[in-house]
Amino acid sequence: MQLQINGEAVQAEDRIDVGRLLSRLELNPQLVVVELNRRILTPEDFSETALTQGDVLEIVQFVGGG
Amino acid sequence: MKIFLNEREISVAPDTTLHQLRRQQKTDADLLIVNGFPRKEDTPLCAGDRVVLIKRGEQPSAAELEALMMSRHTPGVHAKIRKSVVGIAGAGGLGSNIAVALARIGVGRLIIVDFDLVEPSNLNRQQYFIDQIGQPKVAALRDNLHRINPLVDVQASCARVTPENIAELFGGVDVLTEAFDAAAEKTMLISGFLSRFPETPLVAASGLAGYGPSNTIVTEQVARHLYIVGDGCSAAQPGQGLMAPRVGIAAHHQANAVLRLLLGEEPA
Repeated sequence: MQLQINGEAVQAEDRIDVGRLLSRLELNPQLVVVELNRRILTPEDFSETALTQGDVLEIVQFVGGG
Repeated sequence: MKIFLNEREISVAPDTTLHQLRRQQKTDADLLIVNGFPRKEDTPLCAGDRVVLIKRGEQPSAAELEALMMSRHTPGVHAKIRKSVVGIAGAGGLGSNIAVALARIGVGRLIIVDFDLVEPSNLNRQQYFIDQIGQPKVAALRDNLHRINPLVDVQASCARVTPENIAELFGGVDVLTEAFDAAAEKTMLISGFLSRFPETPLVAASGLAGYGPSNTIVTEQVARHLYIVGDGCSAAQPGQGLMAPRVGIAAHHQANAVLRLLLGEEPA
């Protein structure tokens, strides 16, 4: 199925959940914020949220310092 | 015609000039400010003009302090933000600088949360003083903010932010700023807050370490109601520290983003 991630079209296996998508993208779930269809997810949502065709995601990575 | 003198509405004759007003109201004033900008030469006044007359070196009365302090603001800004509530999660390099900037411009209420104490390694970038070493940061910061602007309501909590207490700590804010240090804490706060308050804007920071060029620090909208300041990659790590100039740039990007949001503008 096709997703949009950070403005780009990306192919992914059907019904993949957000948690598996993050590991496929080699992203540490503790260091990212995920918005799915204009709604921010909590980390608990990651493995419970199955993605579907046309879903729009923003995945934002953070680095430390402040 | 009606004008504002030190934020009080008064009536004056229609062709009154600035120097005439000074002679009528405060003959010893040596700093004359009209609509946010200092004027030396005499100039005719117009209906609705906001004039502030200051004598350098003179302590203002409590009643006049607020008007005088805000006299260089863009007209109209202070009236809007003095009713606003801004949350600041973390009182370190980012948070203490954001707090000082927002206190100086007269944001009505600041909710500041940090569990930590002031220690000497903070002083290369944080708004504390040597005689405050050992004090809880939120208590020291509140004292500093009140020395700058006694009219700001500072609600200081010496606590660690967790997903469970986010609503209680920051539930009433108009805007929240993320001013933590560790990346995992940043994401915890952002997802914890925006999942509970999806319509309240949050201004976060990522990538502000070192002494890289100032121009790579930017403000960007990355999701609905989520704005990030920084260069996105300069992490604090061995060999790359946090220092006042660049940390301050990021903090002031955040403070200006907050101001724009409070005034109904998009930050970026």
